[in-house]
Amino acid sequence: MIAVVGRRAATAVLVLVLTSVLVHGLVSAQGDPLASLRQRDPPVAAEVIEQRRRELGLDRPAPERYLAWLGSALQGDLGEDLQGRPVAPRVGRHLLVTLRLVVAAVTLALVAAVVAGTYSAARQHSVADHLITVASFVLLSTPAFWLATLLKEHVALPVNRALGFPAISTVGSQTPNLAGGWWTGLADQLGHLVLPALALALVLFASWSRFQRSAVLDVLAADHVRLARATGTGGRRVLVHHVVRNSLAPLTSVVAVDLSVVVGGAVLVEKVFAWRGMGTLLVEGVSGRDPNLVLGWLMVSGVVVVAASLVADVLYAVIDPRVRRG
Amino acid sequence: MGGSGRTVAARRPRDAALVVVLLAVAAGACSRSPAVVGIDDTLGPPAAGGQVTFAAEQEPTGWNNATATDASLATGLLVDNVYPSAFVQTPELELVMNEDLLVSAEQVSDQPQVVEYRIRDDATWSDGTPITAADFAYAWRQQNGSDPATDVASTLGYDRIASVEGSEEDKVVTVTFAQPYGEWRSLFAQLLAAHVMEALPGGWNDGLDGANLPPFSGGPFALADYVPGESVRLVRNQAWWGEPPLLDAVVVRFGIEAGALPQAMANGEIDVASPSPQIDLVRRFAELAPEITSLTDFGLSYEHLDLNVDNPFLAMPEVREAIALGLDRSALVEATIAQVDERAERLDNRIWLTGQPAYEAHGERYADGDVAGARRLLEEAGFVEGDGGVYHRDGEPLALRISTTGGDRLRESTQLVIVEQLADVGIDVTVDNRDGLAVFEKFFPSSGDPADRDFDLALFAWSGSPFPSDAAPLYAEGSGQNLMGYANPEVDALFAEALAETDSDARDALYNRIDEVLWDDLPTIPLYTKPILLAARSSVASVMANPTSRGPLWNAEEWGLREG
Repeated sequence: MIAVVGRRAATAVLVLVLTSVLVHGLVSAQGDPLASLRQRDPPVAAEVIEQRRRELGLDRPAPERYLAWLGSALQGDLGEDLQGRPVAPRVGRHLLVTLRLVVAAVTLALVAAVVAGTYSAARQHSVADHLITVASFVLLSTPAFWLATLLKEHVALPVNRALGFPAISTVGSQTPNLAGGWWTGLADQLGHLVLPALALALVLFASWSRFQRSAVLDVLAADHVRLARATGTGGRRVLVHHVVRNSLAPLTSVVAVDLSVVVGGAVLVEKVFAWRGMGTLLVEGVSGRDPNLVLGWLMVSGVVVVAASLVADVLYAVIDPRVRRG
Repeated sequence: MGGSGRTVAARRPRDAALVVVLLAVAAGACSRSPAVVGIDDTLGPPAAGGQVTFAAEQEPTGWNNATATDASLATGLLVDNVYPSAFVQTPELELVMNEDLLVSAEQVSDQPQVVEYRIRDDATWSDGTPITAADFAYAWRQQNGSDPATDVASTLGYDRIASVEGSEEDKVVTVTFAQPYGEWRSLFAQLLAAHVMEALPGGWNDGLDGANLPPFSGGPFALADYVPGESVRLVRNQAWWGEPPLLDAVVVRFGIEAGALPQAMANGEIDVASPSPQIDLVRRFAELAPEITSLTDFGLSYEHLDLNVDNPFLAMPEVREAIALGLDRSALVEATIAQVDERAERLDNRIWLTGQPAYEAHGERYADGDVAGARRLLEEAGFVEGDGGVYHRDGEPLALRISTTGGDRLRESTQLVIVEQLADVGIDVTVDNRDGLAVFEKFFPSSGDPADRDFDLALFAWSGSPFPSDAAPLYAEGSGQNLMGYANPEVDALFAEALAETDSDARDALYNRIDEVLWDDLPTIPLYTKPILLAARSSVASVMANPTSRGPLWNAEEWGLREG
């Protein structure tokens, strides 16, 4: 078990390093980050541009810059972006914002998907099953940003009107300069979290509930379930004790992969709700031709991907004892 | 820059620096009244206190609006209430002396040109230090180009000053010019506190970069509580000696995209916003009435078609004229921008915009399409009609590309209209776009080498200013902003003459003369003035449009929250 985890971690580190080389090369080759300065008219003084070049280390060749970056990255210093701001704290801030969103969305989606998927499979071909199926496919086909707009229009505004005060917010992750204590701050953050988490959760729920449904169907057809039924165990007990736990394995892998994608950048959701998370950071880094920022993003989200994948492996082992021995 | 000053940033591609201004057009009259948004007679008069939230389209990269690296409309919008200016632009596009700062500002002698400013005795920075000639002198020294390592947006005007001297406890400033400068009222805008700047780490170049808000104020508000990427506040300046602002603060929020604004305003999260209008945005805001008042109007940016004179066909004046003749600009306006605001009009002048007092329409002979005339011109130039109705010359078909910011629906519709209209003339135009701002690489290559320009017809907007001299770099030979590759020594000479002309009527006439020459040469074809959109909660009093670069926050000290 430890060996398995260890091997996985080592492979992951190698992949991260190779990816960082590729990303650094691509971002550096994309063009001159000082291009916009050079285009100004009247021109920015040559000395000023030269000074900027030296400050940003652009006068050194790309491989040398990469190695310098790698050296400091291994010590935890991810360098500075083109505006001179340290990358590590910036990425950290954006990661926290995204994690808030992702944890909320994934929890909601997971619980709903397991319940709905299991119910759907247990009551296959019933009215409820059909409704859930249709709902899932509708959600799968709905673009995330449109879903977001619908939620704003048909959830936030009516609810706020009914309550008489703006409990649910449509933009930002918090209200700027909020006065009040800890509770006010928490309530404010929750109010801003509702819609984006819901938007993301609905999209995740759509695909996860399908997975869960087909996994449960598979298990329901298994021999041990038929035996349990044959020996007289009640329907619900069969479901809870024999079916659900055995059906969770495929979903665990899917959740691990989707989680990584979502942490890396739920860009559209972030844009529509004006959240400054990892997706926004990546877009800023790429459009600003900022290698340090993109690499910082890559490293952090890479670590999250690896961690999520490891956690998934561990859970897999928890769920299925046969894996532990393998 | 706001106030009376302008920066070359004001003449940058409109999308690169988003204008958030509004111009009210009184029907046909020369004088205009500002659009006052937010009049709701059922609510009472505004009370003191409270805060208003404004959604800014772009976030400043720094707070020194006179440096090349940080000068932008986004910065100017926010610092207008913090840094005092000698002259300010009113909504009627007039330049008036700032009576909050100065008692008088006059040119007291012609040869040499000498201007004398008298600063008010009660004008002080927020730390109590009086505003004096030292601050004027600092602005001059930093922006006169004497030190090549100083990061400055424009030295224009300051480089003509010989000396800046103070007297009478430094409250009288005497500025002597080495060479005459007609637009002297544009100088000494958005002054910084010299004594603070000189002590600030990083100084002029870097002292106000990024998250370093100015630790001083000479206006009704001061900047505070900056959370990069999220928000900044304009809080009441306690040391302000003028009429105190009604509001406690204006909260400025960044990063909210235009599509999210109507719902955010309906939800009470934003009170005032001025995004670029797209058709459905205008409609969505209109649906929020009466709680939200919105209006569209015409600002100081204008859409235009630029012809790359390096293209062998476009180098021929007959071809350029045929394009101008063949285009039915009136119909184009009807089909595109008039859908956003039906008052939209064809623009017939490149230096002055519709509504400016000196505007003269010089392009009327190219107003509606004259396809027959265009075709005749081409045939006289040796073109022969070939396959598919496209004209050929020496075996080469007259095929051109048109490029603009991909993804902008209004522009893409405009392109399609142009393609169709020119097809009737026998010119084959194909669309060659890049997404968003990436297309500007084709017009203004980062190498700076004109040979790297990669376009035939360019469609985009310049944001204008009340200072016509800002147009000079667009047509000056060899200038980086002259993407057409146009060169005409007569135009360059006229611009130079206008710059030195101190009589404003003579100056206006010179600029109109330049535009007439440009209509003869046709390196560019102006299309229409771009509309802008202002939306405000009806309970916020006195929100008013200002078409200059000062933006909608220009009179934030008058804003107040109505009761009721």
